[in-house]
Amino acid sequence: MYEGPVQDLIDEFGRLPGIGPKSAQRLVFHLLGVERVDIERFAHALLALEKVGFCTRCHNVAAGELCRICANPKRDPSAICVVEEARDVVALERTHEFNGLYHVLGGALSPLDGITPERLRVRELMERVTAVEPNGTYEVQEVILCTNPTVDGEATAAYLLRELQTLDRSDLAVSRIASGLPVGGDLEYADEVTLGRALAGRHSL
Amino acid sequence: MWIRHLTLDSFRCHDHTVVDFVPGVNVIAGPNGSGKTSLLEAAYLLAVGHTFRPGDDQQLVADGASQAIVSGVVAAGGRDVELAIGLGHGPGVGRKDRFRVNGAVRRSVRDFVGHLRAVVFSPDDLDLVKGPPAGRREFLDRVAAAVRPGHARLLSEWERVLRQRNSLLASLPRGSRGAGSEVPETLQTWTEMVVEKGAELTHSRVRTLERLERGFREVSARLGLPSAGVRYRADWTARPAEDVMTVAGDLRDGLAAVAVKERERGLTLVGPHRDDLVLDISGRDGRSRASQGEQRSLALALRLAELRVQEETFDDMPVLLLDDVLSELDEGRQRDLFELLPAAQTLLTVATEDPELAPGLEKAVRDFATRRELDVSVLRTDRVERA
Ligand SMILES: [Zn+2]
Repeated sequence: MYEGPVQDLIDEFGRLPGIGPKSAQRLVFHLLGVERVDIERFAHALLALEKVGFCTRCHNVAAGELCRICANPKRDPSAICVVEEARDVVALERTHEFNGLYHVLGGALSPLDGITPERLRVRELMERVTAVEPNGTYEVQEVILCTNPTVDGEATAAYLLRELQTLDRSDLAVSRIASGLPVGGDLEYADEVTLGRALAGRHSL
Repeated sequence: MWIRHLTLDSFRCHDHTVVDFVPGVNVIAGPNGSGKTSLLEAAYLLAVGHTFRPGDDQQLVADGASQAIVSGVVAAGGRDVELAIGLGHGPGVGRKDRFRVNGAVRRSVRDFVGHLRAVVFSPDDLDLVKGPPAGRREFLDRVAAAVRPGHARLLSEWERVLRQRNSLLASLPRGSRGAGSEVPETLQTWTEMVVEKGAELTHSRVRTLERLERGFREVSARLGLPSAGVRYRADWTARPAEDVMTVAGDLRDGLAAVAVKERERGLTLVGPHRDDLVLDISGRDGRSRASQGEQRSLALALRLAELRVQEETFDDMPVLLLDDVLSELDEGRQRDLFELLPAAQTLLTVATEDPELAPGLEKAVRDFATRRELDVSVLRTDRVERA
């Protein structure tokens, strides 16, 4: 055990994923040796996280009420790409293949982990898809299911497709990201070219 | 392909053992408990990522050690590949870096296997014939995984889907089980996943069995059982060899027929997790109505058929691991076995207290080696150098 503040910081680092007690100790002793201005910048960046929340529309991480993507008027609001996690938004953005908006579910169906549709943002997705504009038309015309090419991701996509089909919106285009992605892996591990191709080659359901 | 050498550290009874092999026949002789089978087990471990003997990984680690490491160099296709596998817990052996190929970490066992291929013949093979269906399904899945790209992934996807559906069935509140009560929509989703993956898995198994069966018929005839047969049995379909869509339709119907029962039991009651390979001799069930001698021949025929499928699929021969099988076979079957084995590197264990091999056995091995133009090396485990 070290002096109070040192041990406190070691404990905090140790709570982070992928950081063991030894690494935590090394990081803290490194910080003890750096300039005060660097410490302040680091502390400032950490404190700024307090203001980060989730986009009220798509549930991506956001610094304000809307995320950067939802707040961008150049994005096409008629297409929604449904993903499991905010990390997947970053992966898909890197491909520059998609100009619509996203919907972050917050995971995938998994009875083993107690993940039911109620634990995901499924209801919010259905609300977005059925929202009517002042002129009486639907804003959302296309939904692309971009859940991971894993068993759980496939099941989630199949479930969402059934739910979307019960919405009484025969004009809605629903598609699934094309195969060709490394099967069993996560979207975030796929390279940009592969992921971009999979997105461009999506097939309608 | 052949194994140049194996290194066993803290593995079973080996503190540190290094063994060099010849590309031909390697007789490993010694008394019981001297670590002969562990050498074959180490070779098998590098081929498939787990052992052919029952028990968990921790039992493979020598008493008093926290980790075991098995490594070896395999010559295949004009190149040498170094394979290493770590067991237990210790520095350098985590869950994510257990498997190494040429020093580089492979994240999963699926990325590790395939550099070394091996077919094992062991006295436990009798369980393939006499034992429960799980052993035969595992045999078929392992053969399929070796020769059909994608089968291993399909199997792990199937296992996940089945666990997910069982978990959902078990979680349904008691009151809602049984006829007439509300079925959650996600159950339909997971049922469809079971149908899709189950049909694909069955299809892949049946295609593999068709190839196995050709070798099986030929080999069992040579072993004196010309009327022996092997077929795939699924209680939910009479036509598992049809196209995937048809098989999927049958699985969907099969699940629908037991829907109420499944909700009562909280378990998936129909599917490829309950299928079997049926062995028979002129219509007699090989499991319950064959003599011990016939059962040994059926087991031998299955292994030799596995070997045939590998021979057809790959340019080079797998390594043959014969674990004390000769002691179980009469002289006639010993001769038959040697006549059916191809020219491949062979690691053969013989349990003996004597410094010399029995003359009959010695002759059988020499004849086999001469016929297949293989060198013979005899290694005694009671004299293997230990550090
Ligand atoms: Zn947003």
